Amino acid sequence: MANKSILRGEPVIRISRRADISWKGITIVKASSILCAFLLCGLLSTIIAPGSFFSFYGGVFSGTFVNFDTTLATLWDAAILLLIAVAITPAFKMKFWNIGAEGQVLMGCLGAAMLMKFLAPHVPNPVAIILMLVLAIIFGSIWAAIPALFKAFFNTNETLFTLMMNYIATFIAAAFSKANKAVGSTEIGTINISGHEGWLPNLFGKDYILCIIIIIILVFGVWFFLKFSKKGYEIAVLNGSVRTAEYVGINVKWVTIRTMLMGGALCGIAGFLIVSGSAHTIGGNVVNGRGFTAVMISWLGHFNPLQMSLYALLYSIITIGGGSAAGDLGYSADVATVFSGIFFLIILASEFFINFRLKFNFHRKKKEDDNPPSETMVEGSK
Amino acid sequence: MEKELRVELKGISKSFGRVIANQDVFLKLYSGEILSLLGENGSGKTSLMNVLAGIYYPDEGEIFVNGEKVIISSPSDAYKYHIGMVHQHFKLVDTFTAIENVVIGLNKHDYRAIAEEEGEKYRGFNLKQSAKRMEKMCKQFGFKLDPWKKVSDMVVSEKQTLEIVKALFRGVDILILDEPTAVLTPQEAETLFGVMKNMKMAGKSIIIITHKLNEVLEISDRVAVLCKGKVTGDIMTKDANEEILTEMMVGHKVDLNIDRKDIKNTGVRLEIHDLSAKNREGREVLKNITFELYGSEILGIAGISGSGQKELLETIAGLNKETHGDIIFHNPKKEQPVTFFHKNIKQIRELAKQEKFHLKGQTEPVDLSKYSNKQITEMVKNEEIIFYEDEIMDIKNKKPIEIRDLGIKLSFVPEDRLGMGLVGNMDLIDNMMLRSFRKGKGGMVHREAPKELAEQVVKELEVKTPNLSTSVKKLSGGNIQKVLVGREIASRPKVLMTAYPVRGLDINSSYLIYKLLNKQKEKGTAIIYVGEDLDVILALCDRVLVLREGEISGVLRCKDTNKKEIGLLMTKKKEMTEETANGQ
Amino acid sequence: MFLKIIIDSIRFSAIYLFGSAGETITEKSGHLNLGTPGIVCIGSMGSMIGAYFYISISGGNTIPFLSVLFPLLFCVLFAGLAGALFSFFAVTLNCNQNVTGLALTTFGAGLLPFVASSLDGEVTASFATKIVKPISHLFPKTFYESNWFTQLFFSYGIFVYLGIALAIAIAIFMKKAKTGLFLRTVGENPAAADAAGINVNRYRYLATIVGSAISGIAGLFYTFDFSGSMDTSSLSGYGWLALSLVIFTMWNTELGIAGSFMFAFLYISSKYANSTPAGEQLVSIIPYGATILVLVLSSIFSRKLGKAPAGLGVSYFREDR
Repeated sequence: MANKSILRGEPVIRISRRADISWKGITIVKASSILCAFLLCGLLSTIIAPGSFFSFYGGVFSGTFVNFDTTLATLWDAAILLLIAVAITPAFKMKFWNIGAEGQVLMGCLGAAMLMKFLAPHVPNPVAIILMLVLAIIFGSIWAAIPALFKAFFNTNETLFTLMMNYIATFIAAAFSKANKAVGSTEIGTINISGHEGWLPNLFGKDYILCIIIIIILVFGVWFFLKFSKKGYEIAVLNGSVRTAEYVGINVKWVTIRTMLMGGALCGIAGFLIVSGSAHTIGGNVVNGRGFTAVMISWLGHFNPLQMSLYALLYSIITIGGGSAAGDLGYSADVATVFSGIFFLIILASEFFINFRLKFNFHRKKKEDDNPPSETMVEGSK
Repeated sequence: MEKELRVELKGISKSFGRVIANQDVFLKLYSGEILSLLGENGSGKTSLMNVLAGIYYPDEGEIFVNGEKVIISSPSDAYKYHIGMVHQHFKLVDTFTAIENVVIGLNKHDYRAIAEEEGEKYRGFNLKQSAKRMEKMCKQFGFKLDPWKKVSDMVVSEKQTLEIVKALFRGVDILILDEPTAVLTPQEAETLFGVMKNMKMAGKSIIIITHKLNEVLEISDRVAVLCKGKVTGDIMTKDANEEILTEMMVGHKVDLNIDRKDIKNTGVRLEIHDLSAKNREGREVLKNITFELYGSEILGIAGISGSGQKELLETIAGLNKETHGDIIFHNPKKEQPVTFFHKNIKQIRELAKQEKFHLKGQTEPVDLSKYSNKQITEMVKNEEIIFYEDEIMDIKNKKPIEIRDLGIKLSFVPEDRLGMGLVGNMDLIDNMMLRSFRKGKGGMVHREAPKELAEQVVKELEVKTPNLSTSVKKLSGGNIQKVLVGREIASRPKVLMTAYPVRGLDINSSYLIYKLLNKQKEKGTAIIYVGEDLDVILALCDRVLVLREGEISGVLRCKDTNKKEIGLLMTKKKEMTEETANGQ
Repeated sequence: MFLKIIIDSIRFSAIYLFGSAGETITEKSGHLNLGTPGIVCIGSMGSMIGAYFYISISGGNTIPFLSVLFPLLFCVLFAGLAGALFSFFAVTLNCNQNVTGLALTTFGAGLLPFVASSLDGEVTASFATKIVKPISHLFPKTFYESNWFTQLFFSYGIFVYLGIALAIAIAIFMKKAKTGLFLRTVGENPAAADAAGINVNRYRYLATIVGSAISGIAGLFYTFDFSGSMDTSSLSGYGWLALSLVIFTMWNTELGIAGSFMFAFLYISSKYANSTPAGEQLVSIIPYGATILVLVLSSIFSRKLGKAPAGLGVSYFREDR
């Protein structure tokens, strides 16, 4: 029959955009995707080292929370990630794709390291630390402002521009490290290893605590800025539409540049904290890809600092814990990066169920010709 | 020639989230006819045709082509049934040449069919051969188009021609044109109509989507009218006239009981002189507009949509950069005290030098140079410094923020509520301060006043919302509009411009808006009301200004005119009624 | 000395050439695949698995032809799968392309060293003689070492020639072939392509899978030809450079031949030049700086110079209004 062959084209599954989804629905989708990601990591570990399903989770836990020091290290890792993610969030909110956080943080690191190396031994420590912070902020914001200027005036693609800026920063930092190499090494090594000049002081005898406190204050500050300040409000309007921004008289170009300056400054602070608070060195690898990870965390956290901190923490647990579990179980710790990749991909996939709705029409196929078409609605979430 | 049924739509419904675009639509199309699909903006014409062209898949309903039931789930399916559509926003690749744009999507069997039809040897993908066929086709239907011209070098009418050629090249028998004349000059439109008639002669069926009545009457054989997603009328063009169609478009005539108070106007508020403007594409959208707007009056603006209404309001609001002419605002300050609202001491001193002020109870100009800043502050606070005359300010080519900085209270309710007037993702409170968030000291926004305002708007305008922190995009269209109008009125504007403020609203909400506008009028506000319903304009407004293709075709006093007269002005050329152009 | 630099540069340029040629195909379809560095890593991983598999099943008696074929097949398979994964996220699930790409890079860059370190060391030790040799030299040593001319043109492995041929073939395909025209349409204006009856999603899937498979060969080449070792630490860095090469050549793979040579020459000469380690790092900036310059110039003079595919990075959902 001719009719039947024509009808074959009828789609069985149709995808349509969701008008909105309840807060509950989002929580369920997200929670199940996180669970799913952790389960998959466990399964992967079981495949690599048979029978290790439960000992894997034991390893993850012992690698992250078993004592105060490891807990602190995990929290520090999550906190610095969170700070970078928060730093790029304002730009993302106004649809400026700044994936140059890696470079902006690294330039902050460089600014801090330069003064740590050349100035800190000659001035009182508080002065050195403040000057390091200032230079880190200046470097970070210049690095962010360059692509912003070109975006504002020539509409240069900011995604590719900021991406390239990352590598330039990497090589500048590496060059600085090699130009000031330590005795008997090709790189700079730990700066001021004997006198600790320009190092952030320990709090309660522990590293990291001061950094974590500073970051919490900063993150809260950015949240406050976005929510309660006039400039933050302008960003929110731009997130709505450029037309609306023009209608209420917002200077779109200037807001773009200003927001990137701010983001760059925050990245600079993150760089300062990495160098002064933890790494005490400089080189192309000192940021260690956190700038890219932060992009994912900011996006997946829907630009909400609370959600972002959750993802940052989970990421740190899965990489640090996964690495140490792999060590315990006797396979390569490189697997931690694989775990984090799985983690991000699963969470990313779950976004689909938040944005879209699936419609199935199974019984259309077998329906009689004169029956009216009907459909079943199935909620997208599992 | 006997007309055969080509396409039949049965019970088509399509919705987007909560918005219903089409509901249970039935429509027929016969061979060799031009069918007009008439309806207001948002009545579902385009989405219905997108269903037929395979862009949207219907939620419900069936499509029959030549009597057989078909499934059209993609544009290539539509081509399979010889259905093609020219979209309002052209779907062309700018960096390609015309012929490249024509052949994209054509496959082996298409080429084979073409070669067969032309009696040539099948040579597969061959641009030169295709270009030859395209030139032949252009000749047949009366197009002028160079196959090797790049799209980025084309003017709008050429691009449209290319879209039509693209469809015809695929052997389309059923051609859908979405608002084809919206981007054309009258001469170009005439050419297009000629082409359409040629195509009709060749046995093709054409559906033309439009909201212009004159076009419908000129070109089509039959008219189907859509209103709120449903077909409300289907009539042969020869049996129709503008009145019948208008009634079908806007639904049955309702008795409007709008209470219009005749208030003596309070002097000129806005003076537009010889204003011309271009849109973003560089096309002239306003031509030599001259009129005056008075306080305590509602000036209606009528015209078929796309006649420059939106551009006129946006130009006054300072959103259009390409303008010529004057927009002069009269700030009603005569015998009013000067305040610190957007005037600082330096400016007050400057104005005093120009002898703009006198002291309360005196008639002599006051010389402020002998007073100290502190004394002046005291005097302003006590409202002792009085203006002689209204302040006159030219606001042409000023950005919205500059207009506001001059102390001009100009409110604007734009047509695009969520894309321009409000931010959909923000809650009610944040939307309330969209225009006023810079107020107050310091870098923080002050949400107390907006919150009070939101509460007030929700209460007075009966906005149905779960609470004040609900995103406005989750509200219904009527409630969204109430939020927007409420905010714009709350700033106590001197001039209030509203574009289609009751579009998509139910009858009660509409009346609420009318009442609000009347209240503003009583307070002395000068109001511009752009509307589509002439009955409302006649009942609500004091004067009506009719636009046609960006020009004023007449200004009439509502009490002394009727729908027919306005309707004629909407479609016919300038017949200026001199005595009414200057108001009362 | 100078000849050596040129020869090494030509060899090394194959990494950028494969990486950028593949990514060009992907980007022509409108997908900005920031996962390319990850895909290069996955390609390298695939080739290792292929080599490992072949040595295992052949029991050590390898034939040169299969020594090339097995790593290639596995490399293309795994890299193609990674491309399919990207397309699944970007097309079917409508996810943000940048985030998907970065996640894929994280995934791939982690997977490679993990797999490399998990392979049995005894077998990988035999890679050098059994796999690297047939891959890294197409012609016999006695032939190409005879004079400077044969050294300059015939001392490479098969993939150097393959890369150049592929770059030219892709350029012709894009400009002349019907499918190339359709693919460009999808990348320029997916809505126009859709309205013209082109299946946008199918094109994006296919282009990304094919493009990723080609990019993956860069990983194979690095592992079994250029470095000939299991050290993979710098591979993802080359992946990023391949990505920037796509912009630098303004989406023209035939220019990519020269461009990749330029990038490679800068890298190699900085190694040979008697400069300080710091100077070497600074020379490495040049490719990125040049890419930014091209990017900026193309945005200022967009009409004259041509541009990125207009639909690059934008996901397409037909019913969006």
